[in-house]
Amino acid sequence: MSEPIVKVRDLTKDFQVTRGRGGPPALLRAVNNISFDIQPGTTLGLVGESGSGKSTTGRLLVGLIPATQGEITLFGSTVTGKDRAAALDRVRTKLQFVFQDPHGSLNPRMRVGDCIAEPLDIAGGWSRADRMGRVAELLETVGLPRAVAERFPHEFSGGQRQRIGIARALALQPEFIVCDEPVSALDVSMQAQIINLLLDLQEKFGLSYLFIAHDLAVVRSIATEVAVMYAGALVEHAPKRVLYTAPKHPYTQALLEAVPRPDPDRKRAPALGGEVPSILNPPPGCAFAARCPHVMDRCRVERPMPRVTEEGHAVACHLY
Amino acid sequence: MSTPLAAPLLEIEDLTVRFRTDNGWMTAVDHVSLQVGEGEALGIVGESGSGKSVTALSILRLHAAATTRLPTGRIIYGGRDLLTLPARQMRAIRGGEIAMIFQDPMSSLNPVLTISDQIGESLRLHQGVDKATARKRAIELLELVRIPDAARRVDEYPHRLSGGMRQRVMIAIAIACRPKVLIADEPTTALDVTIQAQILDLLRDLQQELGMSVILITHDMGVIAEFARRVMVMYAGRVVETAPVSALFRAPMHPYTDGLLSAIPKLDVDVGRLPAIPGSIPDPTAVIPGCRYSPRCPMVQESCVREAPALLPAGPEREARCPPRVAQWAAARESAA
Repeated sequence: MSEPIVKVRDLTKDFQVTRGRGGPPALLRAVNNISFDIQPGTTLGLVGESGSGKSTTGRLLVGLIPATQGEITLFGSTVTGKDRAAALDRVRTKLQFVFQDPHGSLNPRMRVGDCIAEPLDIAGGWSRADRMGRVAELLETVGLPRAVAERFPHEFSGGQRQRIGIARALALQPEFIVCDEPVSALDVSMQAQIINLLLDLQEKFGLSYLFIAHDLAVVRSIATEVAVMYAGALVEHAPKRVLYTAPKHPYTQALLEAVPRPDPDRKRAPALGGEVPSILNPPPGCAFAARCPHVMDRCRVERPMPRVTEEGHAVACHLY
Repeated sequence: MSTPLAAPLLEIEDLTVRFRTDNGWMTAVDHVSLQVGEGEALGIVGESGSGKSVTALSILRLHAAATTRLPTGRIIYGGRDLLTLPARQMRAIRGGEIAMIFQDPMSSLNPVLTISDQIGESLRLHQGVDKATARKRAIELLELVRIPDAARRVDEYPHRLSGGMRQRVMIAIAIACRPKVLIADEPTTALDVTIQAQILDLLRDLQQELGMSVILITHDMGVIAEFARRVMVMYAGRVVETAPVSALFRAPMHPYTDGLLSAIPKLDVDVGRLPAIPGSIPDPTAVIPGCRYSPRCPMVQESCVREAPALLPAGPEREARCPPRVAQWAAARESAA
C-alpha cells in the first residue's frame, strides 16, 4: 500500500461554550480522539447524525480550525502543532473544500467566471487570457457550457450551482477535497448527476475525497471506505462492502436498519429509542451505551477504543 | 377515475394555484385532483417545484393572499367547498378537523410560550376548555406522542427540546382536537435517520389509534414506501402518476417515476454509476409545450411535445400521464387476455 495522503492520529477538538449569562464556560468535545488514514485516489465516507462531529473533522483536516490535541499529517507535512501555519502553507494548494449549500457558498454579486477564478486570483500569476482559458476549461470539466461564465449564480438551479462550486474547487488542481454534504441540499434527480461527476473527476485527476454525509445510501454510492461517527467518537471503520454487509457496531447496525428503503414489502424493525447524548462534558463510558440493545456494565464506565478485528475493519465496542 | 369504494373524506377537484413572481405569473399547481378515503394514508411525492406542498397548503388555505391568485377548482370536505368557505368557518376546520404538521418544528413553535400554552391554544380555541383543563389535556397528549416525563416537560419552552421532541410536540398540537385529516409536510426531513424512524412509527401508530386519514408529503421514496398505501407522484405542478404503493414500486407507469426510482442511491447493493436523469427541473415560470417532462424523457415522441398529455386510467386505482406508456400497457393487457 502506498503512503496515505491523510493521516489523522488521536485527533480531538474541544469548543468552549457559555451556558446562560455569566455562567462558567463548559467544554464541548466535538471530536473525541479519532484516528484514520486516507489512501491516494480513494474516498473515505464519513457518516453520522447531527452533532456526531463529522463536519468538525472535515474542517480540522483542511486547517479551517485548529485542533485541540492530536496530529494531522497531509502529504507528509504535519499540519498540527507549533509549525501549523507554515506547514499548512506548504500543502494549501493541494486542499479544497466543497460545501453543502451551493447558494450560500457563491457570492451572488460575482459573475460565475469570477467565482471560479477567485482561487487563481488569490494564488496570483495568471494572465487575463490564461485565466479565461482556465475558467472555460473548468466549466467544461464539470459539464457546463463556457457561456455561463458571464452569468450570475442566481440564474442556476441547485445542481448547476454545485457544479460551479466544484469547478472552483478544481481551479488550483487540488489532490484532496473535503466534500461536506455536497448533495444533501439537492433533489434526487440532481444528486445522482453530482455523485457521478465526483466519481468521474476522481478517475480523471486521481483525486482523494473525504466525503461527509448523513445519508448512508449516498455514501455507499461514492466511498471506498466508510467511517461512522457518533457523539464525537469514531465507532466503526471498514471497507465499504464490509461495513454495509457485515456491520459490527450496534450503532452502525441500528443506523442501517433505520433508513427507509424504497421497497414497500420491507418491514423495518421498530425504531431505536432515545436520542444522541449531549457532548457537553461527555460521560466516561461508551457514548452509545444509553441506547444500545447490547449494553453491559462495563460500557457505562470504560470507553471502548477502536480495535482492528480483521483486515481493515476497526470497531470501538466492548462486544468485540 | 380511481375512486375509492367509499365516498372520499376529502376530495380535490381540478385545483389550480398561481403565484405572482418577478417574472410574471407561475402555475404552481396545475389541475390537480385527488381523493383521500377515511383512515387512508396517501403519499404525495415530488422534487422541488413539483407543487406537492402548495397542494397541501391549499387545503387549509394557508397561502399569502397578496401573491396568490384565487385558486380555481374545488376542495370538498364534509359536503362543503373549502375554497369558498367563509373565513370564520374555515378557522373552525383548520386545526380542528384538518390539522397540519410542517418540516421544521423549531420555526413552527413559538419560542416564548410553554409547551402547555401551545398545545392548550388549539384546545381552548376549538373546544373552549379552561386553562387548567387544557394543561391536563396537554400532559395526556404528550404521553400519547411518547414524550418521557410529560408532566415536567409540559411547562418547558421549545428551546429545551431536541428536534425529535419538538416534532412530537407539533404532532401533539396537531392531534389535540382529534382531526379527521392530518397533513404532514416533510415531517421527518429535518430529523436524523434514527429519529425519523421513531417519528414514522409514531405517526403510523397514531393513525391507527385515532383512525385519522394522513396525507404525507415528501421527496423521499423510502418514506413513501414505508408509510403510504396509495401514492401520487407530482412533477412541475402536475400529477404524473397515481397508484397503490406496491404497484408503483413494482411497475412504475411514468418515465419520471422510472427515472426517480433508478436515480436513488442504493443502500443494499453496490451499483457503480447511478443512472441519473439528465437535465434539470424546469424553471416554474418556463412555458413547456406538451408534456412537462418531455425535455428530460428518454422515450419522448413527437406527440409528447405537440399536446399536453391527459392523466389516463391504467389499471385498478391507477392513472398515468403518459399516453405512449398507457397505450403499451393496454396493448399488453389485450394480448394477455
